[in-house]
Amino acid sequence: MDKRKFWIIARKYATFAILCLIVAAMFFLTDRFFTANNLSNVGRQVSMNAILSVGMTMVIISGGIDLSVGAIVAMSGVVCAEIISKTGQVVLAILAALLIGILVGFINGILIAKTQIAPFIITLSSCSICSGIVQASTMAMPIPLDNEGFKVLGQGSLAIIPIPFLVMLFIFILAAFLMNRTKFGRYVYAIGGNEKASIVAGIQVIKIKTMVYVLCGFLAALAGVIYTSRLSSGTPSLGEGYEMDAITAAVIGGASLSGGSGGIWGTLIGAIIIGVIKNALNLLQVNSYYQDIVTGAVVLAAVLFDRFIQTRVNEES
Amino acid sequence: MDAIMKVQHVSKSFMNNNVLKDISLELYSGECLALVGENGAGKSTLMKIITGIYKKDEGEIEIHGRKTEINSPIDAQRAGIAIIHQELNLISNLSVAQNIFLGREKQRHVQIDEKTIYKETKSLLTKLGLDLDPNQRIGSLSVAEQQIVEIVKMLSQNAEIIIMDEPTAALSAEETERLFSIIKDLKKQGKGIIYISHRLEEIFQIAERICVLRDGKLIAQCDPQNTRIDKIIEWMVGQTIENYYPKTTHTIGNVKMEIKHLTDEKNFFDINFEVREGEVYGIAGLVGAGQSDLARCLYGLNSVKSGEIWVNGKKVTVNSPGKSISYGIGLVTENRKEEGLVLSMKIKENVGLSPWSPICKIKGIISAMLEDALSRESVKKYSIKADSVNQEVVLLSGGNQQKVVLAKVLSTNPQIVLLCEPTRGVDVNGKVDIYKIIDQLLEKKTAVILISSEIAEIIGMSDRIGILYKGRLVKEMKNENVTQEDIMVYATGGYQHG
Amino acid sequence: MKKKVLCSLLAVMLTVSCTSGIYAAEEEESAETGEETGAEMPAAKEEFVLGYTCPTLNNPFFVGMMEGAEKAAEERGVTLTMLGGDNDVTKQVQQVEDFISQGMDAIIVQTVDTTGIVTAIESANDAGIPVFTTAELPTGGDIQCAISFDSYESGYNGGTYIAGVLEEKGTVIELQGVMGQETSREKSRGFQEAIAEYPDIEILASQTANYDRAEAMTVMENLLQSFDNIDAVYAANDEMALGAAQAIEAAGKSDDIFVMGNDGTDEALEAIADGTLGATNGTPGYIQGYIAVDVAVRYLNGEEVPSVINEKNTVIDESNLSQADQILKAVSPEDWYWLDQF
Repeated sequence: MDKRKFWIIARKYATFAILCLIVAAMFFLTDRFFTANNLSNVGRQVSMNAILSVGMTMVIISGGIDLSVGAIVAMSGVVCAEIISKTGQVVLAILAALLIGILVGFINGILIAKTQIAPFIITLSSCSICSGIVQASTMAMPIPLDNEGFKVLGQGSLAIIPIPFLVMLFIFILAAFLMNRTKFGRYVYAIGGNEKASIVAGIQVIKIKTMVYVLCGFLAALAGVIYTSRLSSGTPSLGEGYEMDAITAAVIGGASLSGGSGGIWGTLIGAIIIGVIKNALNLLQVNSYYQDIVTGAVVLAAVLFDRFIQTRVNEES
Repeated sequence: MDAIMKVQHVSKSFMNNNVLKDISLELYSGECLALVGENGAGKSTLMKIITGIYKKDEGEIEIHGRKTEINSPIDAQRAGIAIIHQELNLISNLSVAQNIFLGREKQRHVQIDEKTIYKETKSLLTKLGLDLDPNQRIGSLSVAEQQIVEIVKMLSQNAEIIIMDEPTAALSAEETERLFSIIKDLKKQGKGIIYISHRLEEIFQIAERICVLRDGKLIAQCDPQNTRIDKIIEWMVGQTIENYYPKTTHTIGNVKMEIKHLTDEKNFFDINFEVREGEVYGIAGLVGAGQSDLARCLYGLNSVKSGEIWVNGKKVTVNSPGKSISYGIGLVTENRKEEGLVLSMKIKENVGLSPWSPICKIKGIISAMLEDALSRESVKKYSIKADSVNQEVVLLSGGNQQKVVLAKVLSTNPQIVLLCEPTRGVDVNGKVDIYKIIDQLLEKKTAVILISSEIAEIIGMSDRIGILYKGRLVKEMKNENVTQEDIMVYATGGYQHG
Repeated sequence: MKKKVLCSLLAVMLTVSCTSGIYAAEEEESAETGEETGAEMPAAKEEFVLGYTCPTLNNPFFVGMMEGAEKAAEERGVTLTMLGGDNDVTKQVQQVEDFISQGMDAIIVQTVDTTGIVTAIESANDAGIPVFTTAELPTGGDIQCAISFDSYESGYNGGTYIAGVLEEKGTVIELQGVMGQETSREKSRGFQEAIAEYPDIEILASQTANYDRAEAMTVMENLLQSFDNIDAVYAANDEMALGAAQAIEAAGKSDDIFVMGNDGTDEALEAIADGTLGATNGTPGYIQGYIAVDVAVRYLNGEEVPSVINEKNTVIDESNLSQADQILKAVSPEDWYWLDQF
């Protein structure tokens, strides 16, 4: 029995151990990694994907998937940039962008919860529709921005800590509370674990599912706004493929694509692992072709390691 | 008569834990050997050794007098051993014939020779006197028919020894009868059958010999002809169960729930009955007579076409589980793994799963203290055996899982409790515990509707009994000196003829 | 009947599923014909239909190309269907096959993969439909006229220009495009070979940012941590150049590092004007599209066309910024420089 407890604890901290391993390796490979500037860079770079991953984690725990987050990033970014460049109203622009995310998320959620069509199909379609709208309305032209106030959100720092990182931490604390301490979070896990049992227990499954996608859309839009501020430009091609990074972060963090398991803090570590790898590969000037191989291999290793420990847990029970 | 299979001195342990101790038994051609025992007695470990899933630590297995090593399921198949599990291994999108020949398809050139497969399946089916179309999709068959397909599949692989693990768990009485006639046929053909079941009455009907396992040891072998059922239970449990149905008398109070002319125009029609405080209203009937659909409608999971439901003298509309819980109705569904539990979650999380569970101090935010307290209390009150309330329910035995389901439903303090097959797949001790929980409910003036296909249970626990036949409530009786036969007459529609 | 309905339904679905969308420019036959200034505008005798497939339309460069092509189609009175291939050669092959079955009079191809597209071009050859290409030349098939933009030469010119700015001494960082694509590889090869001619210039790092602004920013931030002595950045497109410039500005090194992009997008030109970008190697997509349609129509009208037309590439920096429009979109008849190559 003690062995089982050991492996359960091992599983909990496995991803963290992997992160430590990568960081330790960087310590020996280059002296450029542990500089205040670089760490602050990594923090900034990780933030947006991490925010996307929080929403994705919730969706995955509920037993779904959201492929539209990349398109929502582009859409909210462009809307935000358009409004700022037309009116100069930063707050209005941000609110409008977030509202767009909520709206797309709501449509995704209500369709998925009510029709029982696979989330994969619904969100793939909405991804296509959203990016189509973005491309058509901008003719693929970026919208340049020159608003000092808006820049702060993506480019500013508090002392040495980047603002996006602070926003991300705030989101994670909130999300962890929501998922671990509230009934809402409990029901998200329950629906992902066994939807039928959740219905019988009296949980309002349609409402909870819809809310999960709304939150995911909202967070994607938030990430989109931060990206836009960071680039000082509404870029229509932004966000392409970002859903894959978000899914990867969630899965490295222990989320199972069949639903019911996963965790917010695990996802944070997953997102940081992805960010640190990318940073490391740049710092070590790894050839472009090999970067993809390394990234894929690390992700695979992380997931295999997790599965190895999971099997130990099962065997000991 | 020679034994087809001889198991000699087989032992097995997992991590210093002896799960099988020196088991020896024989199986003869043309006999049905019943294997009974509580959950954890070692039945399934023994079967897994015989079918090559586990390796034995000690002992030998002889097939037709020859020592045989069975190290994998394929070895077992070669030795003529087949097992039919509770969960069937059929592919629902393929036809009967395709399933039977799965992995052994006849080929003509590169194509699968569907014609030959069809013909051979047809002849196998006729040999057992079965009228099934080999081209029918498995998914469109009933569980009983699927089971028969599985048996035919085993026979087509020349199985000599057929192990059946709880084959009647999901069958109606009629279907059970048909299965028994097939078993009799198989016996005539000289096959040996090992029959595992919790339903002792069945075993007395079908088995030539009974082996009782307890704590990994073979406790007794007996002939059902001259052994009494309580003796077997005593062997299984290791003590005499004084009161199998520990129901005490309670004062029956006011009408709690009244059903008037309820119909869904599909599964049940014009149902009328009432249930009172402190009363158990048992609903008996063959599987598929409409009882589970009725329960689902009363709980708002399915919708009704017409009719009225009155609770506490007020007419109510239940169209969602949330609504019915707010009226004080609770439901224990018949399938705990599919609809009762979130297996990946902890005990405490399952107990507090309902939105009405008292686990919040501030609305919407779970108080770890209240949650712990609730589940600890439940574990104690319903004698759930677990390491801690943080244990995942997937690791619990069937009986304990069922108690967690009960704890979940009862955590919302329902005034009317619907129980569907509450003891299915639960061992004797677990059953008695669950009956005790029902008795506790009556103490608190709860009204209980007990739906079960186990007639003994209905008779043992109910105050009044309603019998469903083809979706209609054909008889209502007070539970005074009612026998199983009395109920079967109505449940099978026999009353119409005599 | 049923079959027909099904077919058209399928066709509609296929069209809709093409996420890049279809832009069709249709115009009545131009009223003014035969203007005699400089060169003559070839008027369509019958209404020609042209199909044009390019790597993607989700990118300002190709949008510019589409505008140029549409402008030419409008002036010549032909119908143009322009499709983007999501940077996927199999999709482009499919698009060319669709063009053939639609009975296009001519097909213009700019491919992401010069080998993969060959089968499609051969199919067009078999169907007797003339094929024109812009940018890279496919490795096989009969091409009526290749409007050639030499990526190698563009990269080489970029390298030479940077060497000039650095006065043949210093360090440079190269931000590469999508390295699975031939244009990116050729441009990178040209750039690296040009720099190799200057022994005192060192390429500190060659990293990909996949033509993406956000990614370029991240990569540049990381590289700024690795190196303190960067003198110049060469980016394979303007989007990456702008992303890199953003990172450099945030690090407060705008005055020390010279950033050069490629393409000449509006935003890049603005950035050159306000000094955040040093230069861009004008790769006028607009003209490229314009030339392709112009040459195709000339061929369909029976004119002889050369087998290769070379497109110019010109570096735009502060010195010639005022003529940028001229360089990038100059398509008044006196600027039809390609006619000299006929």
